[in-house]
Amino acid sequence: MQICELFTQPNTILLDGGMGTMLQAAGLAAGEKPELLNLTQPQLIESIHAQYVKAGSRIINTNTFGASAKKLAGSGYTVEQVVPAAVANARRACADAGALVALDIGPLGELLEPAGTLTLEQAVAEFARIVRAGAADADLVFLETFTDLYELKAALLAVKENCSLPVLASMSFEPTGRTFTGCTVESFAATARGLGADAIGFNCSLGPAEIYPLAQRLADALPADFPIFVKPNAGLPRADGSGYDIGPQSFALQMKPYRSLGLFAAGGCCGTTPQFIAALNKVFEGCVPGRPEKKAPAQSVLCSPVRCVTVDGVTVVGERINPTGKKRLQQALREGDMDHILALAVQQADAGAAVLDVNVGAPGVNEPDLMEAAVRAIQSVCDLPLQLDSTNPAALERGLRVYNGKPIVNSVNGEQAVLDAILPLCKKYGAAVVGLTLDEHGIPESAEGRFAIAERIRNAALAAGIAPEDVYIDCLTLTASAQQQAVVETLKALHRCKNELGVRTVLGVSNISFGLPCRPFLNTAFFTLAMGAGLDLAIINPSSEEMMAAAAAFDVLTARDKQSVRYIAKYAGYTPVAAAAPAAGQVGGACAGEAVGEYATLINAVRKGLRADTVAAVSTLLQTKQPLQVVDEGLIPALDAVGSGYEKGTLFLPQLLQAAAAAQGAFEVIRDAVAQTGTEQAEKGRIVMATVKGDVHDIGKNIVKVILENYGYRVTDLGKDVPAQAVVEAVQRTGAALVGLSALMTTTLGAMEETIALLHRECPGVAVMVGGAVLTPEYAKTIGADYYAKDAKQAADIAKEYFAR
Amino acid sequence: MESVIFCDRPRAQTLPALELPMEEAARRLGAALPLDAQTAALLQAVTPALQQAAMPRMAWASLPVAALDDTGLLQGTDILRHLNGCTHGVLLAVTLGPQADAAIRRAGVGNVARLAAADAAASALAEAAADAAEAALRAEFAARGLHLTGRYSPGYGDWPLAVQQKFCSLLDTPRLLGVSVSDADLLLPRKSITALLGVSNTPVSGYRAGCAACALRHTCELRKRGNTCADL
Repeated sequence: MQICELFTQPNTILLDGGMGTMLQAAGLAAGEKPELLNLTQPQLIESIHAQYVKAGSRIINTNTFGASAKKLAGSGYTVEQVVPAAVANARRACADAGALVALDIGPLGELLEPAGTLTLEQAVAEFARIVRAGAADADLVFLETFTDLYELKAALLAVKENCSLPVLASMSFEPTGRTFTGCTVESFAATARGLGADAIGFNCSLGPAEIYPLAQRLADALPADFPIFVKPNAGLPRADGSGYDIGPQSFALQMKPYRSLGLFAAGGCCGTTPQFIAALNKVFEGCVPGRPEKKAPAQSVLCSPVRCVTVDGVTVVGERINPTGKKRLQQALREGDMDHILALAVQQADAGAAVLDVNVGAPGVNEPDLMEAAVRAIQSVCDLPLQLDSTNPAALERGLRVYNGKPIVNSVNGEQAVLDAILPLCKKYGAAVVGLTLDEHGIPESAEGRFAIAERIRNAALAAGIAPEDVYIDCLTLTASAQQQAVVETLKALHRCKNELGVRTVLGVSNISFGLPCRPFLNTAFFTLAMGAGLDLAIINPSSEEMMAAAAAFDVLTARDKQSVRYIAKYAGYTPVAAAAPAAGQVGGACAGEAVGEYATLINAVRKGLRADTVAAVSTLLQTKQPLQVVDEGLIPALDAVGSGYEKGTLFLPQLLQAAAAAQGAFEVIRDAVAQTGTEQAEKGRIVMATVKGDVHDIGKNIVKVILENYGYRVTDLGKDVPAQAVVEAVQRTGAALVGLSALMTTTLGAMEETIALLHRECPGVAVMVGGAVLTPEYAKTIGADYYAKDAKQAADIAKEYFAR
Repeated sequence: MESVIFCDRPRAQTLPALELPMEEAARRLGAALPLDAQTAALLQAVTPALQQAAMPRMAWASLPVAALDDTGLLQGTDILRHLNGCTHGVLLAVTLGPQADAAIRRAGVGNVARLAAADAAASALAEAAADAAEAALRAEFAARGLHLTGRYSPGYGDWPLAVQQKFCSLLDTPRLLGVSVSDADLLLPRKSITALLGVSNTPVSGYRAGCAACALRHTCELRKRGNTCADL
């Protein structure tokens, strides 16, 4: 078989079976590195490959599953020695029968961010090294046994960027239908296909019977002619651990149902041998790859690893991460303050958004850097798919590269230069795309003019290789107050695009009411009209009750919400928020020991850790007082009272934390107030904080950070696993006078000592305070720290004393 | 090249859904007992999302103590004392999976009390998962007429954290559980636990290194209150 014929075979082809199983049978002990045998016993490896070729395998995977630099470390061999030798062994075994050699690549055995410390780019580099070492003499690349979608993305990028071979992508799932990391079958299908996998399948973990229902879902999630494959284990592990529970004949029997899925290829994984593969010849005799065309049009999906959203009917995109007209967000973006962005993300997710728009294009920021940072930060706390919203191709590429899953890009328009710059990025990273119906001549007034641009955009997207179901058109909402006649043109254009071009549609709905009072009334009416005209993606504020209710009602009235089940679940026994809201600031009272005076309500609320009441009290105070006054005269005395109770042992950590969380809520309101006035918030001192290199335990550091912020210090938080140099750079950049470092484990105290030494050398005059479970005051002194803080309260005391000097 | 003879080759299984041990979570959060209503409510508020995100799984394997020693895993004296009188050792790893870490991060957005509560609750859940795993192993070995010591983890006493790398590679945890070890010898995902249990023909208790050898002896809150973790 020639490689160019791989995907046009008239029959399901056979892959190979287990390599480890064969090596164990040949005497390999657990703990030995099978990849080294490529060099030490090449005949053994070649003979195993040859047995599979003889059994009927048409694609042979090289013995390179664990041939990464890290896994080979200490073996005395390099990737560049092991991989070419492995490819040569397979090539010799394949030569006579004309079987193809697949460069086999498995996971790195390290956890990627955010759960781990390996960055996407580090993973890409590790995979790239394997690809470069083996691609020259291989026919294709086989990525197998992945359980982390992000790692699979890294591997696919490495393959695509370092060779032009076809690539097969395979993941291992649990019986729950998810991988260890929570990835769904549908997210795997959409993401791997988008990133350019030529065939997608499953291997390992389960036997044929258990994988079958997953394979059905995979087939449903992919086009009828998209090649799919399976390499199951020989059943499940026996209870006594002595191997797998089915033999070649049972394996063949369990593989029979797969004929109905029109597999492109089938083989085996752990526990399977050449006998298992030989038994498959008969099973797949006359089985033609591919499935009948589906009746329904292809669905467009957007996904993160754990959540796959099918855009079928009205889908709410949260609009709030967009700095246009939002001073507080602009300020957060200028300061690189991700906490505010994360709060917006979580609020919108909780309010029912299905997708989040991410626009970080505030004036005076480095948009590419911020887009990458925002995408990584949001995906670490929220599993909704994202809409990357920018006109800056560099920002889009940075966001697309680090995004985990399949996102949507907002936007291109009819301008050729824009299409040329952005569509290839969408294709490379497997994103859906929004096209705005405007071009270098502006926004056409008529529906016809906008339709013509939409058609041009759709054709350009298809020509760039983007699937038709992934093209979305935004016919542009103009404000009713300025261009009243244009409203109906937008709706007309939307209707035509949906029905005549077969594209999905998008509108940023809220713009309709700009400049008019009671905006929700107009927004809701327009939204309802747009839904009637065929709107798919509605970019709205999901916290708006009226809008969410309109979408839910629309689904009832158009019979999408069968038997009104979702509507009833949501609204039965419902009381509108406006009617249910309690009067603000209802707390306090006259019980003994409570604060009195104009700050009494605030102080008591903080002391009791009542966040909603604290926020309400601060909002009331801000009507008559300056933000800093509220901090100094209300919040800090309250926190001091709690801190002193904690020191005396009358209050415990949970009370301290709940008071801090209440103050944290208050600070959100105060920062909003400060941003509205357009002045910089007065600050009591700048502090840089980090969990040191190698340590990923950052809960304690995060607590200290919040408490320092509550006391009015401006904290630059570098996160966890932070190299010494990055701390130094942050100090130099921010001009911070105090640095807080944390380390939880004994193994990372060395990194703390190095960081302190570098700080003292590079930033004379800067003081360092340290904390963490295994530290003591004496040890802190030994490693050169200026202060030791046993807890967050003490850290705040140290800061107060230090900045008072 | 090393070679290891297992008695029970590494294998993985899913653990049943876990109830939150409320007192243990509260203790890890630093609460005083009996628990006040507000702190209990805080823990209860963060728990459902954690329980939904957690995918508790265990992996284990067994091998003769001599074979264990040959791997270089048994560094220091405390672990050898723990295995005193044992013929075999059981390697155990338990994890809540990476989604539990994500749930903690999400709980903590904009609310430091929820962050700490979710972290404490997840630690308590991981401990409960290890207890459930240990119970399953005890039943398994009791059926063979054998006895197990308690769990002894890398980092206890003078058994260095540096053995995590070898421990996890022997037990094949990256493949079986998705648990890997960082360059600083930390388990990832964070809510993961490894432990060694001794196997004996006669009832055994194992050995607790005690406070003198503990890295947290100077800062331990339990110890300040006159307790040790052995009392729990």
